[in-house]
Amino acid sequence: MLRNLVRKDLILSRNAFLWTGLPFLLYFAIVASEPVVPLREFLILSAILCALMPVSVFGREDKFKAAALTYSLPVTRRAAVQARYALAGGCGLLGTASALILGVLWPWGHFAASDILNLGTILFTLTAVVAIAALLLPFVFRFGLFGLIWFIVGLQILGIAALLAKTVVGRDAVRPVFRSLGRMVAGLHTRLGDPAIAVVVLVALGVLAAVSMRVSVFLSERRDL
Amino acid sequence: MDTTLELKGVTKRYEDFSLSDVSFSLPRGYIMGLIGPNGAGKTTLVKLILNLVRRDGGEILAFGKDVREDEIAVRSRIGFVHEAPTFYDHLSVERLASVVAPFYASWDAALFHRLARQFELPLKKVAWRLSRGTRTKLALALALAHRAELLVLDEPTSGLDPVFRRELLDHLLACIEDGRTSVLFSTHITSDLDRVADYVTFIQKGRILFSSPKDTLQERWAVGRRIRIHGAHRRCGCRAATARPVAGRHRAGVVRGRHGAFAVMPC
Repeated sequence: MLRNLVRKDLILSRNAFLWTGLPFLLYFAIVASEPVVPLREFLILSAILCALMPVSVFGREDKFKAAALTYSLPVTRRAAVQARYALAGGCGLLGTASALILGVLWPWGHFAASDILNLGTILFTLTAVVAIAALLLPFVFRFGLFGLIWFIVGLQILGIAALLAKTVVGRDAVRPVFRSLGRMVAGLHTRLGDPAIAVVVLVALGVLAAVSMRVSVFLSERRDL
Repeated sequence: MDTTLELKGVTKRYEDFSLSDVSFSLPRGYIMGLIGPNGAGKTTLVKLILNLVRRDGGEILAFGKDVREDEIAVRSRIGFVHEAPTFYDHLSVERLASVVAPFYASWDAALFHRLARQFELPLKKVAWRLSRGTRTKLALALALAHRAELLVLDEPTSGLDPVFRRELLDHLLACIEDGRTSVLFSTHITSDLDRVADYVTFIQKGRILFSSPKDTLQERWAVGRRIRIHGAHRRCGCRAATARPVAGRHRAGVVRGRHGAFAVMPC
């Protein structure tokens, strides 16, 4: 059943993956060519796009209002959610690999191969992809395409709130918060080179994905179509 | 008598609408028409049967199994035609069938192609280019090609031209000839019931007013051969001649219409 569901989603989304994947690759290439873009920013941008791609493609089912057709087939909602997670995982990995390889092979890129092709950087990108997808997918399963839009709008509002806070309380008061956030991300990136920490992070990612999937199953089973 | 579908005290609550204590059963090999005015709860009921909507209470059994607990076993024996058939619109008819087929162990590709020829389905055409009638035909072909034992159709005839409506209803009659297939279809077109229904279930404002064999209804409520059922007096346009209570707290009346037919309607 799971195989049929993944096959169905692949057939349905093949063109959408191509149409979203190609511009993303172009975007990675442009970003990789910009000398002002630091490696970590490139990795996080790539991760966001790699996570958004499968999630936005899944939202297409809402666009066609075809969920009723899917769930009138002899499948459980749990299996449908699991298939989507499997596909999202595959797409995320493929996208991440493409972005990293492109970062190395792109003739106008300014990243050294050794900066990108190391355990710390690969795991850092993977962590970002899994974390973003794990946060987004339950929204999509519960609220469909609107869930994704609201999530993104929510992030925008959070950004505006941060800007307002900076204006109201002053740049100096907010700076430490952003600095500590930046230090946390940088620290994670550096420490992921340590195999022991890499194992802990991989386990944590597995747990995060499992929890996200359980939440998605719970929400999906309660969604009226 | 074998029962294909049985609902016992099913409830579903929304903010502005609720289905209350819905109970009826459909014997194997028969056609049941689910009738009621717009907004009566027909589509909700159909979705509850398919577990597309989560019930708040009661029990829904298909082939003796709970539709929620044994959803795979149950759904593999059900064919569903949606009110406004939705597909993966960018796929061709042929591709759509190839996506749906692997989910059914009993999928009969030859039967699908035979039905496609019979319904004149354009196999290479993408779904979003199909007309309303052709979409219904495609949904019906998909539902029949896995040899479903229970066909659930939500307003399959609404918006169809009279010729195809007749064809569709004839096809439903042909489906039950094997004695193992049952059909539940919702409609607000009373003449559809006249033509094919063996049982009639009348729902209004989320409550079942009655669920009986059509013949019993005719004997009990109408003297004439034809029975016309209306959800509201206004829709009938007739003047009430008599009114008789029905069991329980629900009441219904029978009226003689100006057109010489009879209407069963809530008092």
